[in-house]
Amino acid sequence: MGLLDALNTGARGLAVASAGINVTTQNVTGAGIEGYSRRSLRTSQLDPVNQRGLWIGQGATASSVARSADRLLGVRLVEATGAEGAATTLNDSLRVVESWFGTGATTGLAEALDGWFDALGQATADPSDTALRRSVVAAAEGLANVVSRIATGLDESVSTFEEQLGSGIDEVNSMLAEVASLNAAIGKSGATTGPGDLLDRRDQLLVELASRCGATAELRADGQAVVMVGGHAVVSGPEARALVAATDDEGRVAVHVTVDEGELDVTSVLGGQMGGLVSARELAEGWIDDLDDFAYNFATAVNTQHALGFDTSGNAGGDVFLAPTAIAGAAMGMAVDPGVADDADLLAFAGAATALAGDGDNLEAMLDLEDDTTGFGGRTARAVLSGLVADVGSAVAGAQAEAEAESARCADLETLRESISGVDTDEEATHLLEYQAAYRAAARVVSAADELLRQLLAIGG
Amino acid sequence: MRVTQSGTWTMVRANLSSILAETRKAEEQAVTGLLVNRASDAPELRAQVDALSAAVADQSVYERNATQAMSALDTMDSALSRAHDALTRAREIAVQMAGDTVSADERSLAAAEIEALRSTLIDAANSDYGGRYLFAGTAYDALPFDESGNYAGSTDEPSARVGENTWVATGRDGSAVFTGGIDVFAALADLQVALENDDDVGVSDGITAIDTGLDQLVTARGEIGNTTNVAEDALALSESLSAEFQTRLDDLAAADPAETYTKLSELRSAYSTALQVAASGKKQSLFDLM
Repeated sequence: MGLLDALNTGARGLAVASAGINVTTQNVTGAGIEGYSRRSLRTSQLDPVNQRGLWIGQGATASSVARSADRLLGVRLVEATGAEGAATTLNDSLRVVESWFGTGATTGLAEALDGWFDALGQATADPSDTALRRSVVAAAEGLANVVSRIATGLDESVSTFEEQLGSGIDEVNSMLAEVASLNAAIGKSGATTGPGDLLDRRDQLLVELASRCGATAELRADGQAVVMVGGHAVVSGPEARALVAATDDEGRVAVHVTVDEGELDVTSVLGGQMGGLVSARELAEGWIDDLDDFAYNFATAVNTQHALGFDTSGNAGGDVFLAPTAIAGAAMGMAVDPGVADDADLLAFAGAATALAGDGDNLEAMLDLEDDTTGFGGRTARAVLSGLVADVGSAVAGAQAEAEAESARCADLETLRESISGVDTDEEATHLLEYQAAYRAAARVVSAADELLRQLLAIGG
Repeated sequence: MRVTQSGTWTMVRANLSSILAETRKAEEQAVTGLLVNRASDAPELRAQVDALSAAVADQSVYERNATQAMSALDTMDSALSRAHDALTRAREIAVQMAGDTVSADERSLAAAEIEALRSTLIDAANSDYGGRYLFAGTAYDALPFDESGNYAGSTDEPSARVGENTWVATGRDGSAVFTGGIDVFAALADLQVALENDDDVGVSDGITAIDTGLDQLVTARGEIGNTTNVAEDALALSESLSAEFQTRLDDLAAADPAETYTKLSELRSAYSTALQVAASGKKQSLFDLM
């Protein structure tokens, strides 16, 4: 081996150490970047050469920069992120919905219903007493206000969920287009390892897409990703198909995917945040329906019984609550009849038209509605409201447990991913020290060879 | 398994967030004194909590109604006592004025006292409680007896709910009490006329009528006493049930202050420890030693 070979081998050592320092630098600076996957320098030894019977090594060269990532783990993380997004969004959304039902051991609905029957119970002491009658009217207004306020709040929540659902589509489409574009670039790179930065960005987008709409991903052998929403491919290779905001038969926001034959409704199979919003919307709509049923049946039952009685002037009773014309919207429109609201003497507590002050026969019958089960499918009005609030509470508690479980699963997978792809700065520090030492040694070799060559040239000269 | 700084910080953040969330819940329980603060807190207990809350509220209504009814019944009893006293005095006068030895002048003077006693009797029959005439039946917003003792009230009696299935009469049908078996007002009026007319037989008849009237009032007072007993029993039951329901509600929904504050203290300590661990983490890096 000549001195020139030693010089070249030393120079290659410098190049490898320099590349190593560069990779280490990239890792250290990428440590705080979300989605960054640790890189490592791959080196290979050059073939030795036979010089006068001796096999002399030619040193090493930097062959590639590897990206530390587990493809299967990546796919599982995408799926788990979609589930977590759905569960967390459902939990957050239902927390807002729950707040409409009030706080305290007894929720507003139960308190208001109790207030109504308690006011009637107190009025039995003196059915003609103006103050007690005003209390009954106030209790009726309190109940109507609570029911109406909750129904209005639920309706506003549904509208908010719809807005959020529709407004997320553009961003998802933008990400789908970027994944398709990255697929094309990764494809052109011609290797499954691809340029690490592109793969990092692509994997990060897949996680974000899962979080937004529950998109799942398959990684092809060529490194490109196939993205699916509700089982329909929306990104395949460099092609992306957009999600489309649509309206379903009931006028609600729906999400469609474009397919060769047109569009397919995937609203019910969405995951991620959009799926969570769809679930929250359905639950809130169900509770509005339940509240409508209650308001319609309760107002009708009270009005029907009230009509059988007589007011302080001996006139037959009118409506206590505004008579609902349909079940749909009955809760939001629940209110006390303006006539009764203005004049408590119109309350028809008497059982006969004789206008006797102490006649509370119909008041007693109205009070009996507390235990009446005919209008509420075999349950009392209180049981209906307790059941509704329990349903809301169970759904919120269930969503919270689900969100915690999915977050924990996601965190476990993230930890696993971090252990494979994350940057350990201490580890990088040791690499830096190692490459620094290698660089110094190679530089010393080059310097020594250079000095020897100078001495040789001086002898020759 | 490799452990990275980023993973460590993620874990620290998750732990801090988890402790904070638990702390917030414990603080809410400490402030409100309730374990159940919203629908999602123990939804399986919702029906029980609502039913117990309603039962407590119901008992409160029964207690108010029973107390009010007892006051009305007490006033009725007092009124009947006054009426009884007036009739008793009338009987004493009638007994004194009976017989041949009493002069017409003496009987004439006694007649004036009987007239006054009759007015007292009518006043007692027109007694009211908070503006409600107690012997007017359900027509208690108008004077039940006029100066002549004619009844204008109702034969239906008003009642108040003092228990789940218990109602007590809070007024009486005045016609049954004062003009039922015998019309006590008419009896005194007849006695007055007999005295004015120096009618010995009429005076003797008046004694018999007054005796019947006294029996009538005693019977009415007995009935009112029975009703009062029912109201008292209902009140005692309501108070007892209210306390029991409230205890059961507290058992279900109320937070144990000692337990809550202990938990809060533990959580604050855990948070402080987690912060110290997080703060010490930044010192441990090889780069700092290079």
